[in-house]
Amino acid sequence: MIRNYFKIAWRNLIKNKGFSLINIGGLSIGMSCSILILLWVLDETSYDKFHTNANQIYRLTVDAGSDFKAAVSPAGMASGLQDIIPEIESTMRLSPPITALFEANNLKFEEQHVFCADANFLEMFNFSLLKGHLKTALQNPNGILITTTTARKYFGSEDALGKIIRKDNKDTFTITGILADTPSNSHLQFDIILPMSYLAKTDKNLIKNTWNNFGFYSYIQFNRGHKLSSEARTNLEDEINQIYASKSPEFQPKFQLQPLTDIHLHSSNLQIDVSGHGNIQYVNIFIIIAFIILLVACINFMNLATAQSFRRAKEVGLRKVIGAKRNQLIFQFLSESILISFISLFIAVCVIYLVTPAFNNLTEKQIVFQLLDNKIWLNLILIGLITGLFSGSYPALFLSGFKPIKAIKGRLRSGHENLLFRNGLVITQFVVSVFLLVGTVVVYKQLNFIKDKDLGFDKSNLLYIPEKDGIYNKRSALKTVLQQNPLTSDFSMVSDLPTNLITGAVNVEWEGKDPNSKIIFPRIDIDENFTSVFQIETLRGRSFSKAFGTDASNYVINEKAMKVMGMNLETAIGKNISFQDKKGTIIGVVKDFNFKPLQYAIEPLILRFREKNNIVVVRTQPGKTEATIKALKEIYGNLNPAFPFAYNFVDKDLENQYRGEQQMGTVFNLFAILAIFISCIGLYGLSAFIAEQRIKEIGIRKVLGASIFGLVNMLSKDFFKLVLTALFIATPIAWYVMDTWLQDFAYHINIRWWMFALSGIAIVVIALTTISFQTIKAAITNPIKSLKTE
Amino acid sequence: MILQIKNLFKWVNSGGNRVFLLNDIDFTVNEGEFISIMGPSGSGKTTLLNVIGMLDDFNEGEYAFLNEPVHTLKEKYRANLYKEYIGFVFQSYHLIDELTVYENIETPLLYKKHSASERKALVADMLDRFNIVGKKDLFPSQLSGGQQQLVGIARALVSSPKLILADEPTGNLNSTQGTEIMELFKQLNKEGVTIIQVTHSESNATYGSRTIRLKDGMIVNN
Repeated sequence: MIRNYFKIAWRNLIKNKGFSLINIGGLSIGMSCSILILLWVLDETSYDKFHTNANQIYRLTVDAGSDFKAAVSPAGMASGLQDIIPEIESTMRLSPPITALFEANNLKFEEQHVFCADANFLEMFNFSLLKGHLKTALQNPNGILITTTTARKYFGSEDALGKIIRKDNKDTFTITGILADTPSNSHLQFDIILPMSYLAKTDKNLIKNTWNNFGFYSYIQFNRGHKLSSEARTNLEDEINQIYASKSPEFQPKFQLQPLTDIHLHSSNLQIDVSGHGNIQYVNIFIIIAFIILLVACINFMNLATAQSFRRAKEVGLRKVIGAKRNQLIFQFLSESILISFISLFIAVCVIYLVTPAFNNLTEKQIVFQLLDNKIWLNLILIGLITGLFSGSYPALFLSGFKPIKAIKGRLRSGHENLLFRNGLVITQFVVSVFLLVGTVVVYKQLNFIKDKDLGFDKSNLLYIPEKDGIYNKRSALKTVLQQNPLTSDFSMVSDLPTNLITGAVNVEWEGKDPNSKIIFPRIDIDENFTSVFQIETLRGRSFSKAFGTDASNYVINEKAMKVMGMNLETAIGKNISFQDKKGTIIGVVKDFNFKPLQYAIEPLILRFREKNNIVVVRTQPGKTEATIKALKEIYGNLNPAFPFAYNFVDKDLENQYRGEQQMGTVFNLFAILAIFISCIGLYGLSAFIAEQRIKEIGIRKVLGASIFGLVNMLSKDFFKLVLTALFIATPIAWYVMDTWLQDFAYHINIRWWMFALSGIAIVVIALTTISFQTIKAAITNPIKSLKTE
Repeated sequence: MILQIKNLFKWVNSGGNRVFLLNDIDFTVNEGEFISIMGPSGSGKTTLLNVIGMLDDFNEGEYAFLNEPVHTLKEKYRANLYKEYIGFVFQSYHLIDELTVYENIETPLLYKKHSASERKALVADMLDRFNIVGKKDLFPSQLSGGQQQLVGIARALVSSPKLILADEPTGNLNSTQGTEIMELFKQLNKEGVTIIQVTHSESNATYGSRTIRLKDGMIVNN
C-alpha cells in the first residue's frame, strides 16, 4: 500500500518537474538554513554543560547599583562565605586574564589566555588533564598547567611534563600538568593556568583576603543533592548580602549567584568579565528565524499543492469511487509530502556538509556536523517528518474532501475558501519577508551608526603598545626617546584605554553629596598629553600640564561627572573633591567621550594625573603608520630586547567590541535574503500556475483587443494587493521588535518611516519582477494556441 | 432483488423555481438483470445512475439497496455499501493516469485490504480474462480507447461487485470497439453480474433485458 503511494508520489514528482523543483528547492534551502541555525543554537546552549557538577556550580556576580553589574568579587569573599554557609561544598577563584611573556626551549611567545586559579581548579571543573596529578598540579606556586597546543608550540613532540617554563623573564615554573585543549563550548578559554599561590606572593588582596576590592571571579559549588530552586537561590543571595554587609557596612552592593551554565548566554550586562560571551537574545532571535524560514518553505509547498489541487481532483474522485476511504487518501497525500520532505532533507544534509566550513568561518564556531550522532539523526528525522506532515496537512485534508462525482467531472474550480487560504499563506510569506528586510535595514544602519559614532575622541591613527612588565622601570627613558623621534612624539601614557574601561570606585566625595548615593566613578590615569593625543575637547579650565607643576593632587572630570556632582561649567573649576580618600581640586572639565562599548551610556569619569603609565598611545601621522611602527619597534627593542614588540590600533579594538553584533548582522542578512528568495520561488510557482489557469481568459481577452501591458497589469494586480497587505501587517511587528533590539544600545538610531518605505518598495519590486516572468510569457502567447487548449 | 426505488425526487432550486432532476422515480432491479436507461440529453439518466451508485443524494423518496434503506444511512455507511457491492464504468474510462494497467486494476483491492498474494492472483485473473496481459505495464495514455475501457471494466470487476453501473460505456468508442464492449457486458451478465447501463444507442439497449426510458426526470415507460 505504502509502496503504491510512494510510487504515485514519485511519478507525480517526475511529471510536474517544474513544481517539484520549486518545492524541493525551496524546502532544501529552508531546511539547510534551519538546521544550520539549530546546530549553532545547540552549540551556544551547550556551554559548560560538560562539567559533571555544572548544575551545582555558580559564579558570584555583583550589582553595584546605577546599572553597574560586574562578574568579579573580592579575593577573600568566596572562602569567607564557605566558612559561614554550610551548603557550600567548595569555592574556587580565578584571576582576570593575564597577558604575559613565556619562554621555554629558547622560544618566546606572548600569551594572552592565561589565568591564575585556586588549587582545586581541576576538581571543580572537568577540563581533562592528560598528564600530571589532578589534586597536586596547582598546589605548588611554581607549578603550571598548559594545554596540548601550547605544549606543542614550545616543545614540539617532546614530553612537556616536568619541563621548565619562564614567565616575563623572571619567574620560573615547572610544568605539572598537560591539559587537553579547552573545549570550544567552555566560557573559560585558556592556554595556560598558573597557581593562585603564585599570584598570592605579590597580590595584597590575596595576602590579606580582602573583602573590598573586586578583582576575582569566584565560583561556588554547592553540595550535591542540594537542589537550588530559584527560591533557595534568592535566600542564599540574601544570606550572602547580609554577610557582606556585616563585613563592609559602608558599601552594600547586591550579590547574585549566576549558574555556571548561564554564564555564556546571560552575561551581556556584566562588566569586567572574560570575553567571548554569547547573547541569549541572539539565540532567541535565531531560533525564531530558523522556524520562520522553515515555515516559509512549508508555505510554498502548501500553496503550490493546493493551487494544483484540481489537477489531482480526478484522481481523488476516482479513488473514492473505487473504494478509498478519506483517511486513506489523507494518508496518501501525507506520505507524498513526507517523501518530498525527505528528499529535501537529504539534499539539505549534503548542502550542510558543504557549507559548514563557511558557516563556521562566519560565526567563528567549530560546529561539526556529526551525522552519525544518534541525537542529530533523530532530530533530522523529526524535522523531516514534521515538515512533511505540516506542509502536507492542508493539501491532504483539502484534497481528500472532494466530492467524487464533481471531482471526476472536473466541475471543481478552486473555491473561494481555498483562494482565501492561499492568499493568507502568500501574505504570511511576505509579512516575514518585509519583517526580515526591515530588520536587515535597521541592523545595518545601527551597526554603521556604531562604527561611525563620534566617540568624543578621534579614534583613527591611534596606535598603542600594551602594558609590558619589562618596561616598567624604564618608563622615563622610554618617554625621553619617544619625545625625540618626530614620528612618535605625539604620544601619551595612560593607565587604561577609553575602549572598554573596567575601573571604577564609589568612594568619591564632593560638597553636597547625598550620603546614600552609591555612584560609581570610573577613572583613567593620564599624563599631560592625553587630551591632545586623543583630541578630547576641554570645555572649561585646563588639562594637566607640566607648566603648573603641582597637578598630582588635581583632577579633571567629564561633563557627566560635573552634572552628577551638581555643578555647572561656571562653578566646577576650583571645587574640592576627594577621590579614593585623596583630596584634590577640579582644574578642568572635558567634553563627554565614550570609554565603554556603546551599549553603555557615558558614566561620570575622573581623570587623574600620573606622569608615567603603562600603556603608550601614539597618534601616527597620516601615511606614516608603517614608519612609526618600525621606529617604535626599534625603541622598544633597544630598551628591552627580551620582550617581543606588540602593538594594536585603538579603532581595531573598538571594532572588535562589536564583533558579536557584526556577526549577528551578517548572519541575519544572509538568512533574510534566503527567506526572501524562498518566498520568491514560491511566488514564481504560484504565478506560473495562475497564468496557466487563466490562459483561456487571456486568449479571449487578447482576441478582443487587450494590450500586453493591460494583461500583465491584470495578472499582477492581485499579487500587488497581497504584498501591500503584507506590508501593512509587517510594519508594526517589525517596528516593535527592532525597537526592542535597539533599546539595548545606550546609543542607537531611531526607526524612520523611510526604512519601511524602502523595504516595501524593495519587496514590491522583487515580487513583481518574480511574477513578471510568467505574466509576460502568458500575455505574449499567441491566442490561437491558448484557445486551442480547451 | 438488488434494489428498489420508491417515489424518489431530486431537485435543485433555480431562481426561486424548483427544477426537478428526478421526478417520482419508481422501479425495482432484480439480481441478474441487465437494464438500459435511455432518454434524450438532460433527461436525468446520469443523475439517476449516480443516485443508484450513491455518489449523489436525493431529496425525497425511498431507496433500498440489498434491503438496506439507503436514504436513512449515514454518509460513511453508505460509502462502505457502494464500495463493497458496486462497480463503476465511465464513458471516459477515468483511469488513473499515473498508474499502469496492472496498478489501476489492483487499486480497488488495495483499499479492501487484500493480501499481496490475493491481489496478484485476482489481477492476473482479470488481465487474463480480458486478454490484456501483454499490456499490464503500459500507462493509460499508451492504450487505445477500447483498451482503456477494457481496463476500466476489469477494474470495476476485480473486487467482484454485485452490480455494475456503466455510464455510456461505449460513448467514446468507435462502433467495432463498442460492440466488443457490449458483447463483454452481455457475457458478464450471463455469468450472473447485474448491470445497469446508461446509453444513447438503441442498438446498445438491445443487449439489455429491460429498458427504462426517461424524459425530464420522469420514467415514461418501464
